Amino acid sequence: MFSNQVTKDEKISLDISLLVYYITDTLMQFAAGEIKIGKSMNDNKEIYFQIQPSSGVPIYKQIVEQVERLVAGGYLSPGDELPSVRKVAVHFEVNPMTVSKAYSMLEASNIVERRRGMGMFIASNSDNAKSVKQRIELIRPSLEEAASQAKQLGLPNEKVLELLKKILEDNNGKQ
Amino acid sequence: MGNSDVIIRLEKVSKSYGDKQVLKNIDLTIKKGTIMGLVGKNGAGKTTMIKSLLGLLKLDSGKASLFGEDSWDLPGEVKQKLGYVPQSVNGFDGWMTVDALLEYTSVFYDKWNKNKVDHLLKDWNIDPKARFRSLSEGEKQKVAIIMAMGHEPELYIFDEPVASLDPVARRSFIKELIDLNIESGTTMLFSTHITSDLERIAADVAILKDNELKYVGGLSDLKEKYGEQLNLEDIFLELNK
Amino acid sequence: MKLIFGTIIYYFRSYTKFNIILLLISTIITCHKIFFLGSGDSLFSHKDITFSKFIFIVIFTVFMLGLFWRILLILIESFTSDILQMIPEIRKNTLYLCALILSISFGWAIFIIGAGDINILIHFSILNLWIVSLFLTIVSKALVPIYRTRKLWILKWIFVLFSIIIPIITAKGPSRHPRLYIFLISTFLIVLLYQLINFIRNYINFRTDLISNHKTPGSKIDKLQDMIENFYTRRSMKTIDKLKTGQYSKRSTSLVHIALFGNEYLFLWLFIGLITGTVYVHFIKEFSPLPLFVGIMLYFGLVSLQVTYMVFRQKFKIEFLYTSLCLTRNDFEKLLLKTVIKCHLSRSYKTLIAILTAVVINNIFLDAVSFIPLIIYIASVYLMQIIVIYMYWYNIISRRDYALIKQVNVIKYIS
Repeated sequence: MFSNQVTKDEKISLDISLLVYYITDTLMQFAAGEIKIGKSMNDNKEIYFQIQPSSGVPIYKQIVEQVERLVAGGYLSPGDELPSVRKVAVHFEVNPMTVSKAYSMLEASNIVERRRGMGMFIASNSDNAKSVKQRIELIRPSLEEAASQAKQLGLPNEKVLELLKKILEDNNGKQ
Repeated sequence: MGNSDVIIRLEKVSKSYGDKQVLKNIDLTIKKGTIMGLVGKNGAGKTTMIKSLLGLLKLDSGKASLFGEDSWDLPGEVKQKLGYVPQSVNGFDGWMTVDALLEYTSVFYDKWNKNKVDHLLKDWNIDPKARFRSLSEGEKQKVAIIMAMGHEPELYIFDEPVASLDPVARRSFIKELIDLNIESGTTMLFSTHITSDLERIAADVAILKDNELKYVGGLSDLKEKYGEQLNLEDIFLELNK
Repeated sequence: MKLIFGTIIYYFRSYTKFNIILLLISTIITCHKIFFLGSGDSLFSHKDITFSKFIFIVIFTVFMLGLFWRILLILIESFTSDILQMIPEIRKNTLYLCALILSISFGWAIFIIGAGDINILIHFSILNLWIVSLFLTIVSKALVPIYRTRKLWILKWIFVLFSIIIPIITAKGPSRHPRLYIFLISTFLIVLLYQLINFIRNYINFRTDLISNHKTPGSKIDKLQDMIENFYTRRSMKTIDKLKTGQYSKRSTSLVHIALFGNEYLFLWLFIGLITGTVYVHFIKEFSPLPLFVGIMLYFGLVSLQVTYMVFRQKFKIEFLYTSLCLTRNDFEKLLLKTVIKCHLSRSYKTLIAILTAVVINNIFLDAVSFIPLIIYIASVYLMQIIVIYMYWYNIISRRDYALIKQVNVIKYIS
């Protein structure tokens, strides 16, 4: 489970030929476009965030928040590799500097760590998996938005809760 | 000569046409690898700014420079690194075929990536044997873009390059640019009305209003300033109220 | 009525400078006629040609040709201008207007020439009719859709070339072979009538929905045009290949020549040359003296100059060349000047050869004429043109803002 710690030790005591091997291997992976992300995820889908360029929320923030949520929800575990900046930029057709900024911010808040020659990986801090209590605070803004809309429409609370329950059940089914 | 990282520099640039002042004390610095969007109403001075950078217009005051060289008389080596797509495609003779036109342009430059040019022609579905004048506006614009890309410049200056392109073509073009930026760190100055395109490709944005640059900086910072409630189009409308 | 007035104002406003120049010159000519020339002898007679009369005839010739050109521009404009299309029956009314202008100017010209010698009048009328026929052929090439079946266009140009005989024999008068004379003139008039009727009918009835893209007899001309343009493309590609392999230096004028003069119609200059040579020989001898020839040459010189000058006003092209050619400003401007002068010299050279050929042919079969005044005159015209090109270059290009050049649209059949 803590395989990344072993890798760190290995790296320190590497001799030149192994170093060359790692570098060429990574380059070959780049070239082949085969960067695997997330061990617990379906290998057909490689990129799990969505980006809306024409939203009021800056793109880098969208990425940061989504990665935070995925980590908090346990969908991304320590040691999982994030798709490369290039891959994300090309996939979503957005400026790579924006993606780079997002990754830098994630690195600064210790959610991800950069491994030289290999890419960005989810950091090994165990307290990244947040408690339910912390996680639920992350959806507070969306629920507040929904509540305010419900009030504007003059909807009774029970109806709203009924709908929310149905949606959650449907979503679970889709998973 | 200054910092070799700075590709475009405008210092206290002013320009008037007769009584009408179009640019007032503009300061702008664009570093290597930046993709900057230039936004402004029609007649706000976007084309004026771009043309003064290229040496097609003389400034009343201030200095404009590309790659550290004064814009009014750019040396040949700087122009080799520059790709310009103008707003109007009327500069090209209609009687030439597309491939002849591209061959002709290739002679101007020291290096020319023919593979890339052929690949783009195929990608964008343009018949190389077609006469230029028989193409639609959108196809003409695509050819103009390819002509600017063939010599693999380090700096692109686009003056409303996608005005006549359909959404599919625009996305394909943006994708091409992003690839370039990733691969070669090309700098781009992009003047356009289509804010959704800018939101994808530009990390920085410069907004021209009332002859001045009302905002120059990161697009994300701009959105945060407006409480993350407005997209670029809305912000632009706000500023122009 | 308001509409008619408005239309005439519109015609006046487009090409304002040209219109004002024409009006000024016609006033000067009229004044000169009234106050200086008696109503005695005819303008074109050989006796007592003073220097001022010489100049007068030159100016008069240039004016008449300029007037024809203006009428041609009116015809083209009514066909192509968006604003005018909104006026009902614009083309019919344009034809009325042109007929009116032609009649008035014809009457005025007769007044200027003097109604003394009837032969001169006949000659002058036939000459004008020949010019009308020439301009009709030009229009049919410029406004290609007008003739729906365009397969005979080569015949049209050959007709123009041979019909130059007609004004010439009217200059000589009918005394030698009266029956041949009448036969030739009537043939010419019949063909001209047919041209006029055909032109008028097509001009009025032309409908854009009748231009079809599939193969009609008229599309043969597209094929021919295609062939010519393929020829130019191939020639340009040869130059480009030479440039790529370094046979021409990168500062060579051939590089810019393609962009500025790419699809040059060589034939036009040869054609002008042949006509001019023939005109020279005959008009000198008969009662249309040298000044007439001088006027015609001057006129073609002005047209050629106008065409050359328009190169400097191709703003979009110049902007494109300046940003892509990777030359410094100085080198670029010098290269432009060199290219235009070189092209002009090459055209003049071709025209000169054609003129001399025509004179030689005339000398062999008909009366001999001296070359020397011709060569001196032509050389001086071309030299003057080079000076004027330099002046245009200095004022429009040198050290200027290329973005502020006023773009001028070239009429396509004169490159």
